[in-house]
Amino acid sequence: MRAFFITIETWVSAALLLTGITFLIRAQTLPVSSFDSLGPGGAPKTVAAVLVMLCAIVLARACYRSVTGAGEISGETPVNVAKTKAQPTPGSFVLFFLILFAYILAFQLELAHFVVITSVFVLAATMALRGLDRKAALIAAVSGVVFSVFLFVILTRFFVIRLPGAF
Amino acid sequence: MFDALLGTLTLIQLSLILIGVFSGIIVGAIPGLTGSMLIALTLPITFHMSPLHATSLLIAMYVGSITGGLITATLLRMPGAPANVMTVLDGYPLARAGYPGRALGLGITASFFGSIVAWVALAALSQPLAEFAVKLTPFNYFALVVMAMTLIAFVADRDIVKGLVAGFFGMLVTFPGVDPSGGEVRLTFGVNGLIGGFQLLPVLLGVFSVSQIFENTLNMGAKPEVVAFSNKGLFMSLSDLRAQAVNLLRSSVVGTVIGILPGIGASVGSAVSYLFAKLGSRTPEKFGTGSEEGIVASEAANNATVGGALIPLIALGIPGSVTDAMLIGALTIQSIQPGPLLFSTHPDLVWNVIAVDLVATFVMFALMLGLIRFYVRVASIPKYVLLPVITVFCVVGVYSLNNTMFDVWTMLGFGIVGFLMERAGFSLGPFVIGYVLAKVAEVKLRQGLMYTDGDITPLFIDPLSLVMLLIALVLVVFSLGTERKRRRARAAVYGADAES
Repeated sequence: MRAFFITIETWVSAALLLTGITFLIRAQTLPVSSFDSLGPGGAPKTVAAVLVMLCAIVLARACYRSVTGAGEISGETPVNVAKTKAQPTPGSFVLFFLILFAYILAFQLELAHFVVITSVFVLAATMALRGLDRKAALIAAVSGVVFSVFLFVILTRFFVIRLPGAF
Repeated sequence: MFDALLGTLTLIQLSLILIGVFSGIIVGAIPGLTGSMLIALTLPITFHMSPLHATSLLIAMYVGSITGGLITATLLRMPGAPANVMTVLDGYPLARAGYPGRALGLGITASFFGSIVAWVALAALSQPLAEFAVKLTPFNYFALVVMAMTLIAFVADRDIVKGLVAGFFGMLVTFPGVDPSGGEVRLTFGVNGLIGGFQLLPVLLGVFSVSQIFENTLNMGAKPEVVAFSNKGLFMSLSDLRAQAVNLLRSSVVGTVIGILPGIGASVGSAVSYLFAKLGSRTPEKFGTGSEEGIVASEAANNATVGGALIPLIALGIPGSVTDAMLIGALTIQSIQPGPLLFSTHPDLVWNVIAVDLVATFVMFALMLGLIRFYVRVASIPKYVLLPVITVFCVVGVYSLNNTMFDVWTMLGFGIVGFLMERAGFSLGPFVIGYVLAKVAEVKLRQGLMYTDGDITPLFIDPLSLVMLLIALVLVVFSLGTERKRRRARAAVYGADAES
């Protein structure tokens, strides 16, 4: 039973179930339409209700499997098998995610010029994925600057998009 | 048709097709990157292009990306995309046995042949199907969408309940924003950014590109086993073609038919075709050990699904595959409503799509044979170089659409959602199809109810609607009842690892 609470399948299904319930409750407050019998709330209520029901089935099935020890639905196809047989690198993933989050935040707050924040992101992300490899870091530093300058010029001059530091 | 073909031979069109096929092959060849990702990344750029040029570029990318996956499937034992999984089973062993050129040559020629057969079906069937579809009532259309969504869940590669969960979640995500029939703002939860709803591009980029990037960062340790490439045997002889003629034709037809079925993609097409080839072969024991028939079956079918999937897209406005859902996104960005009326409202666009599919096929064939060494090198570019660059493209691409950071955060959010859903065994294909089809389904149902003063019984009385709804119901019941048998069938095709 403990296994039920620690699988990602359980948590994702529960999150989807809660999302469905939230939408279902909120959709009850939508007004009835004078144009059609369904109104703005009809489709959201129906879809949310079905989603809740299906998520409940998935959770019930997962609970049953963990109690009876009937094995898990791994959902693996050869594509995923090829991936999961390699050594997973959760450290790279976490670092990369944090760096990406910081990049988007810097982008929003316009902490520095677009070229600067993008170059720093490319360098930091490469090091997060590759580790402390001098050659990779040098390549990333140079390519990051070239790439971000190129992108900045194309987007601001040709597509007239406002980027941090553009105007 | 002839005018459209001539139209593709202008400098701009040919350049776009060349760029599209070239980049599609490269992306298809790199494990971890997919054609859907490339198309999603290109969508912001197409915003600034005319519809004709946009569709030319995207269709060319679609054609190129399906074939590109053959390279890594054969030389690195890693399918470039799910559509190339079956090619790994025989392509890699044949390459390893000392015939990499022959394995690739078979795959490239089969891809070309499959695309041509599908194109013939596309050119012949699209207009009659569209003319038929114009006569569909709103209730017919709603029933068709329900059937399409059930089909998607039916072939979701893991389990139908999870496929339906993903599909319904995709539908749910479309509801925040402006009610398409009444115009009221609904389900925004007090968030101003949601008045416009979750926009198509951030959702697609998040689910297909960002989630895939996260998945790749989690597997940086993957070390491909590389087979050295050689040109020997790259070009198929006439006797080779004669020997594979029946297999080529059968696989192409299977791929085309499966491509036409809404929501089903190239991976299913190639798997079904592979099974048929194995059943019809005089040497079925060779499948999985380097069988040439296996390679031909898989590659002919997966390319044929591209043309097949374009048929419901053009004729009905219903995506034949997840990538077609992106193409619908591209048309929506251009303020063009996909559907059966597309033939009458934008005939030049429709015939352009058909013409580009043909021209792109020839360009793909030439580029694959001519630049194969280059593609093999590109496929080996380290992921730690590519992933940060692609991420920047995603961020900037999404931001450039509306100059709002809400879209960028939406993309990141859906990237996390997509990543977690995949990890938990929920397919993303049904999610995207549900997202794309939900608005159509709701609008059609409400239109039907308006015409009938709220009476829903015509939905169940009309013979066509009834048949489609019954097909949907039968599929759900059948799938639930045969879940175990399907898993065993998957194991028979994929091997013991997939029996779960």
